[in-house]
Amino acid sequence: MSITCTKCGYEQNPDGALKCLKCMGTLPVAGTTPAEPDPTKPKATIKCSACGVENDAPARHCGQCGARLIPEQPSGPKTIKCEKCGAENDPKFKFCNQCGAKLGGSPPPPPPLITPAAKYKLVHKSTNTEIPLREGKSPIYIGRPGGSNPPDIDATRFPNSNIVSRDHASLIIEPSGEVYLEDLKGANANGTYINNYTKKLASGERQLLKDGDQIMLGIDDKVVFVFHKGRL
Amino acid sequence: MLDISVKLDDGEVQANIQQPHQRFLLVETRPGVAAGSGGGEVHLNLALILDKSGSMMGSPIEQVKQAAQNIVQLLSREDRLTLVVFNHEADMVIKSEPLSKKNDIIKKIGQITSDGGTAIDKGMDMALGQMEKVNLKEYVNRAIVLTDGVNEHGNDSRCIELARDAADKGIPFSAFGFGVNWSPDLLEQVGDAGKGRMVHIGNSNDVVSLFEEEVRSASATAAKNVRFCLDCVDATIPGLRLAEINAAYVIKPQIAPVTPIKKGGGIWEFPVGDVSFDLPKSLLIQLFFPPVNEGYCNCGELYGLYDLPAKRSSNLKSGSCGIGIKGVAHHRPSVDSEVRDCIARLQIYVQQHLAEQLEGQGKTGEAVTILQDAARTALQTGQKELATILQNNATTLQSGKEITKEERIKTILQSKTTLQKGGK
Repeated sequence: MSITCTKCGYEQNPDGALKCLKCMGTLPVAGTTPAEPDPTKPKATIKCSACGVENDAPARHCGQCGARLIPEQPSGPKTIKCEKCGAENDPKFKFCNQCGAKLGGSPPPPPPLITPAAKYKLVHKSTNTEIPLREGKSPIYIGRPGGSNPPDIDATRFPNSNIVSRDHASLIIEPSGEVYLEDLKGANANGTYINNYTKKLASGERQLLKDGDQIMLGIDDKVVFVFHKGRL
Repeated sequence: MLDISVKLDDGEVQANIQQPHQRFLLVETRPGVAAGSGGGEVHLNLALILDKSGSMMGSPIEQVKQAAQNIVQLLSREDRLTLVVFNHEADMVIKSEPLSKKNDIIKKIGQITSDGGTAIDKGMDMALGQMEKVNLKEYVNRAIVLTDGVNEHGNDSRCIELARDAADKGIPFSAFGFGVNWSPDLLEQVGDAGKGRMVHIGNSNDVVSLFEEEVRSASATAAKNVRFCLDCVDATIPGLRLAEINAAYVIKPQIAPVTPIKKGGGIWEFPVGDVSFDLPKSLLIQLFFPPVNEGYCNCGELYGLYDLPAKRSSNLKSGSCGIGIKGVAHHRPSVDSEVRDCIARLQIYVQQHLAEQLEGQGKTGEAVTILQDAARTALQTGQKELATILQNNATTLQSGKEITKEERIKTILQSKTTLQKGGK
């Protein structure tokens, strides 16, 4: 079984290859046999967002590809903001360290209500890369780094990203569970399309996405994502 | 004498799984110190092959002449110098001779004038014929070709062939590009095939010092004709193999591909040319280890074969390093930072070349993606200058413009050069 490189398309990478023999890019880890978890030890690993390898918890950089590891944020709020002076306080404080006002007078606003569990994903068509859509994040920006919003879906991970604008499009997940695609203002002439290239979304236009819709950035099938909506 | 050391990117693998393990092996040379003091015994057999075409007229040719005269002063009387100039034809200025009459030679160099076209291979051919008149084993040999233009009256593949032949005979060939109108592709291939260096002379005032540096580096040769041997004959666990493509690169001081030679009986040889004290060479080999059980498994050994420059001793063997891997029950990747940096540099180099290829095929979009990837790798490993150059190239292509020759030269040299004198 050989592994195809998603970056340069080289198809002859042998079993066990971690880096592409042709372009030396990190290969997808799918197909490797994962190490058996040690039941005697609690699992303390950080998954590398760049190459997917699990690293021991204290690691700050991925042992495989060297990318910086971002530990998952604990679910609770990190700090409590003082309503009076705006200072950030340790959550275990009862009074503001800055001005002495009582902290936590009113409960923090609840996180926006989202339909439970990640039910949506995009699949990048030519590389067959799955991108689960993160819960609690809306809009989800699609583009390249350097625009006014850092992209949640960075098109530079995929081929032909040069035709994608920095702020190209966004996905809006409504509390009702409906997902809309919006062409962002400032998107260049390459445009955003759903399912066919004759209907270009106007700048700022929103379209409801159905399961299986193809989101096409620019023309010529260069960057295409398929939207999947799971059963709720 | 020559000491070598080896290091894997990750010396541990997951035990008991039925798949091979990709690893990178860094082979470093540590030239022994003793020969440095005995450097006086080393005799140089040097050839300068200089472009005197019309475009060199004025300050460039004068600076080059001065650089050659400076070299004559540096060399000892037992050294040998061949000097060939070329335009669309080659001309012998100094036949390989001992430097007993330095003043005559300096005078001859002063009479060189510039005119005509460019046929680099004719100059190379003539100079090599002269160099081979001595017993190459008794000398440290080095050929330097300098040009400022494209090989419009010559044959590029002949140049590369000549450089390869020279390297096979024990004459490293370095390629110097002057100004910004030469072909970086050709000179890189000449330097790579010749197992020498690729050097850019951006400013004509630097010719003298860059020539001098190259000649001093040649006199600081610690071992000639170095071949690293990966020997799996006595391996406890058989099955170690090289990557099918891009198996080995010289990684320092400049990145260059190495073609492994299969010696039969499970021995692979990697010829890397001469190794100097001032810029020791390192090699990076891409390997696949066989599936292993828990515990250390010996899969082969690595040693160097070499000749000594000062004496007539050849086919000496360095100490041998075991190549093995430790199978562990629960493998967590832990990559040696030095090897990882080497891999990153190689990745950038390979991607930069791949992007050039894609761009040449009109696949600009893919070239941009690859360049951006390379820029990101450069940034992650702290190579800010290189990252900026690569990103600028990506931006230039993206906006539909062409990368200028000057930028290309800069990019190739930056991605290729990993170790510089007085630098990192």
